[in-house]
Amino acid sequence: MSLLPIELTALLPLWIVCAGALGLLALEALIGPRSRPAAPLLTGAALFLSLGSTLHLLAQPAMPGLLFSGAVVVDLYSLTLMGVCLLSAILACAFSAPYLAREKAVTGEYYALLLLAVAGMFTLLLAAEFLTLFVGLELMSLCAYVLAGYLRVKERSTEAALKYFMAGVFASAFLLYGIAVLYGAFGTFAFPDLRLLLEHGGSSMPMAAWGAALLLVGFGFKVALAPFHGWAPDAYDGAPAPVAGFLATGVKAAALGAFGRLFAEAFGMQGPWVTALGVLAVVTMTVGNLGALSQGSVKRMMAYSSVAHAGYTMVGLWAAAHSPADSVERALAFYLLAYTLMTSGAFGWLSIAAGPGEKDLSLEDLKGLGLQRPLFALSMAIFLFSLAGMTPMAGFFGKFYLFKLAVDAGGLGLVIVAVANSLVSAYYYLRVVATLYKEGKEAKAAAFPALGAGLKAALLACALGTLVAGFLKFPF
Amino acid sequence: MILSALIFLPLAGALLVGLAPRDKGAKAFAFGLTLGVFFLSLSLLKGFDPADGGFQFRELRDLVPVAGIHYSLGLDGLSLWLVMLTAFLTPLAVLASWSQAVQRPRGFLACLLLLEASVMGTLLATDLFLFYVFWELMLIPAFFLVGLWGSEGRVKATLKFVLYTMAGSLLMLVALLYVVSETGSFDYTVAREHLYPEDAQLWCFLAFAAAFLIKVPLFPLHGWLPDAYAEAPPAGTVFFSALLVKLGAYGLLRFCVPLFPYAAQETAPLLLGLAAAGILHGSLMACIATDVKRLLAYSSLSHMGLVLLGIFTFTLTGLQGSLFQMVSHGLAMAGLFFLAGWLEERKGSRGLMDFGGVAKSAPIFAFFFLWMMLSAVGLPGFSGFIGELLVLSAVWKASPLLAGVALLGFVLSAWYLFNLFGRLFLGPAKGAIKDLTLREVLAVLPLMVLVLWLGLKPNPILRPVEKTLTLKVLEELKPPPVMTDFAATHRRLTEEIEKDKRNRGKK
Repeated sequence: MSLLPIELTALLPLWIVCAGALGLLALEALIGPRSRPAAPLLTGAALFLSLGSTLHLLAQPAMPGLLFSGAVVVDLYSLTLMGVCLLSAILACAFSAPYLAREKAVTGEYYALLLLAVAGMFTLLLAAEFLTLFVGLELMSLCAYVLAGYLRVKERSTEAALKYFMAGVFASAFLLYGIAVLYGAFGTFAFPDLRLLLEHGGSSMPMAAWGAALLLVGFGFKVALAPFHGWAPDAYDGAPAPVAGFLATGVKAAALGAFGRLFAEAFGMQGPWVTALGVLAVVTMTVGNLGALSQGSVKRMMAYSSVAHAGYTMVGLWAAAHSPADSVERALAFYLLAYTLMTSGAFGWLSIAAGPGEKDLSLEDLKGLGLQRPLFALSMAIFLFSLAGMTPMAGFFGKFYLFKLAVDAGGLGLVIVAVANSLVSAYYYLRVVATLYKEGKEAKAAAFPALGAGLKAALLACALGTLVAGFLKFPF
Repeated sequence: MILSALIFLPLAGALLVGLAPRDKGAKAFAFGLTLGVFFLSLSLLKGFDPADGGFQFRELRDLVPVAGIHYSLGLDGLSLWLVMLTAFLTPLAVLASWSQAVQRPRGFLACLLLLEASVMGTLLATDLFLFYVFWELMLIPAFFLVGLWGSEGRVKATLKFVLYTMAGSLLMLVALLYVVSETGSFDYTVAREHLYPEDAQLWCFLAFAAAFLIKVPLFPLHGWLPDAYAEAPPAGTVFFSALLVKLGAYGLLRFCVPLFPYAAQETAPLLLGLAAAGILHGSLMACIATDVKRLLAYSSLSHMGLVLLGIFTFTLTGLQGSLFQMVSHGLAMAGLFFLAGWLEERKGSRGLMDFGGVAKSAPIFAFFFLWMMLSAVGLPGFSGFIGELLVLSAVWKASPLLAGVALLGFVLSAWYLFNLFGRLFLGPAKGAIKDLTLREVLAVLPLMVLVLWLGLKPNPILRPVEKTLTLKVLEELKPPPVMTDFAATHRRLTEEIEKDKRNRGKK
C-alpha cells in the first residue's frame, strides 16, 4: 500500500466504480447483446468491491483528510455516506435485474449509467470545494436523467425524465450563480477557507447571504425541498420503480450529504440562512406529508413521503449553527442510512408488487396481499413502520437523533411541527399496512409469481437492516 | 440477568414462533415459554427487598455510547406487581385462545409474545430512551392483534388506537428530548433528581401526561377505547384492559408526578375533576350499552377513573389503593373479557339481546362470570373491594364531593353489571350454549382464586410498594425547603428595595 500514493489508495472506491462503468460500456460495444446477462453480476461485483474498499478505509485508524490540494476530503462522513450510496446502488441493481427482464428492456448501458451515477455521488460527497462539488453533482444528475427516462417507449417514463431534466438544469444554474457570487465575495472555492472568511465576514456578509440563498434554492431543487419539489412526484412516479428508489435514496442522499457538509462546515454559524433552513424544514415536511395524505397511488404517495423526509433532515441541519459539525454530520449520515434502507426497500417492493408493465398500484390493489403472501407483505410493513418512525426500526433512531439535535439547539417549536408531521405520516403509512391485511379478492394470488433468490435477498437485507440498524455500532 | 430474561425470552419466543414452518406445537411452545417466564418472575418475589425503595436487580450496559444511551433495567415497588401481573396473565391468554379457531395461529402467538416482551421492557427500563423504545414497540403487536385477528370493524379500530396513542407518544418524545437536553443524561434517576423550572415543568408534565392519559384513558381522551376493546380478539382485549391501560397509570406514577411535582400539584384539581367525569361517563355509557364487550369496555373506563383519582390525591393510602386497584382490576377484567370472548365465539354475536338463560345450558360459565363480576363490582371479600375502599378513603379526605361521585359510579357499576348478568344468564333461554371446556376452566380458575385471596389478604401486595411510593413519589412532592425560603427572601428584599426607592423618590 505504501508504495502507491495516498491519492490512489484513498479514492480506491471511486476508481473501482469508474473502471466498472467503462468496462461495461466496452463490453456492450465489443460483444453486444451476448454480454448483457452478465451485466448485473459485473455491476454487483464492482459495487461490492467498492463497498469493501470503503469499509476497509473506514476501519483505518486515521483518515487521509484533504487530498488533491484540498479539492477532495476523505473522512468518516464522506466514507459513511459513500457506503450509503453504494447500498442504494446495490439494492437498485438487485431490484432492477428482474424488473428489466420482466419489462424486456435489458441493456448494458443501464448498468454503466448506474455505476457512473455512483461515481458522481462519490465526487459530490468527497468534494471539499465548489468546483469538485459541481462536477460531481452534474455527473450524478446526467446519469439520473437518463435512468429516469430509461423505458423510452412508456410515455410516463419519458415525461418523468423531461421534468426531472428541466428542474435539474434549472437547479444547476442557481447553484452556479450562487457559487459565482460566493467566489466574487471571498475569492475562494474551498469550504474551510470560506468558513474562516465568513467568521470575519464583516462587509461581505450581504454577498454571502445572497450566495447562500442561491445555493439553498439550487439544492432545494436538487433534493426536492418544498416549494421547489414540484417535479419530484411526477419524476419518481413516472420513472421505473427501481430507478425511482435509486433517485429517492442514493441520488438524494448524496445531494443531501453534500448539502449537509456545506451547511455544517462552511455555513455552520448564525446567519440569515439558518432561518431559511428552518422555514424550508417546516414547509417541506408539511407539504410532503399533506401531499402524501391525499394520494391514491402508493408509488406517488412514496414520492411525496420522500419529500417529507428531506424536510426532517432540514430540522437537523437547522441545528448546525448551534451544534458541533461532527454531531450534525453523524445524525445526518445515520438518518440517510436508515432512510435508504427503508425507502429502497419500499420502492423495490412496489416494483415487484406492481407486476408486468408496472401497473399503477392503488390501495385497493393491495387488499389481501398480506393474507396471501404473509412474509412478502411483512417486509413492506416493516418499511412502512420504519418510515412512520415507530420503534425499534431504524427510521425512529434517525428521526430521534435529528430531533435531539434541534431540541438541544433550542428549536422546540420546530420539533413540535416535526412530530406533528410524523403523526400525519403515520396515518398514511399505516393505512397501507392495514389495507395489506384486509380481506380482498382471492384471485390475485395466482397472478403473483414467486420471487427469485436475488429479490428475496434484497428484500430480506432491507428488512433486517431496517430492524437492527439502530442498534449497530456506527462508524462515528 | 433475570430482568433481561423476562424481556428477551418472550422476544426470542416471538421470533421462533413467528418463523416456525408449521402451526403444530406452536401453542404448546408459547404456553410453555410464557409459563416459564411466570415461574422466573416468581423468583423476583423471593429476592425483592421491601425495605429498599430504590431499583433492585439492576442491569447496566452501553447501548449507543456516542449518544449516552444505556441499556439499564431495574425493578422497584412501582413496577413489581405489574411485572408479576404481566407474567401471570400471558400464559392464561395463550391458554384462553387455545381452543379458538384462530387463523394463522403462529402470527397470533408471536404478537402475544412480542406484546409481553414490550410490556415487560416498558416496566423495567430505567433509561428514558429505552423506555420510549419499548413503549412504542407495544404499538406494533397491538396494531396487528386488532387489525388482523379482530372482528368486523377491526381496521378502523386499530388505526384509531395506534394514531391516538402515537399522538400522545410523540408529544412525550418532545418533552423527553427536552428533559435529556436539560439534564444531559438519559438516566431516569438523574432526570428525577433534576429540578426543572416551573413553566417548563408545566408543559413537560402535560406532554408526558398526554401519552399516559390517552393510554389510561382519561375522560375526553378515550375515543379509541370502546372500538379497540370491542373489535380486538379476546386475548387482545385482555392485554389492553389488564395491562396496556395500566401502563398509562404506571407512567404517571413513574414519570409525570416525580419528575414534575410542581406541575402535578398545579394540575391535580383539573385531572381529579376529569377522572370523576370519566367515572360517571363510563358508568352511564355502560348502562345503555347493548354490546357485551362495549359494556365491559366502558366499565373499564370508569374503573380506571378511580385509579386516577387515587393517584392525584397524593397520599400514601390513595397511591397504594391505586396500585392495588390496578392489579385487582387487571385480574377481574382479564377474567370477564375471556368469558365474554368465549360467549361471542359460541354465539357469533356480542349483542345483549341475542343472549338469555345461558345459565341453564352452561351453569359453570355463569358461575365463573358471576364470581369475576363480584370482584369487579367490589363486593367485600373480593380484591376489588380493597382497592376501592383505599382509594375512596383517600379521596374522601381530599374532597367529599369527588368521593360522592366515585361512590355513585360504584352504585351504577353494580347496577349495570348485575343487569348484564341477568340479561346474559337468566331469563328464558335463547338457544343452548356449550359450557366451559377443561382448558377454559384452567384459564380462568387461577384468576378466581387470586381475586378472592387478594381480597382476604391484601397486605402482601400493599407492603412491598409502600417504601417506593413514599420515597419516589410522595417525597418528590414536598416543596424543596431551601429554594422556597430563598425565593421568599428574594421577593421580600426586592419589595423592600422598591419601597425604599419610592420613598426616596417622594423625598
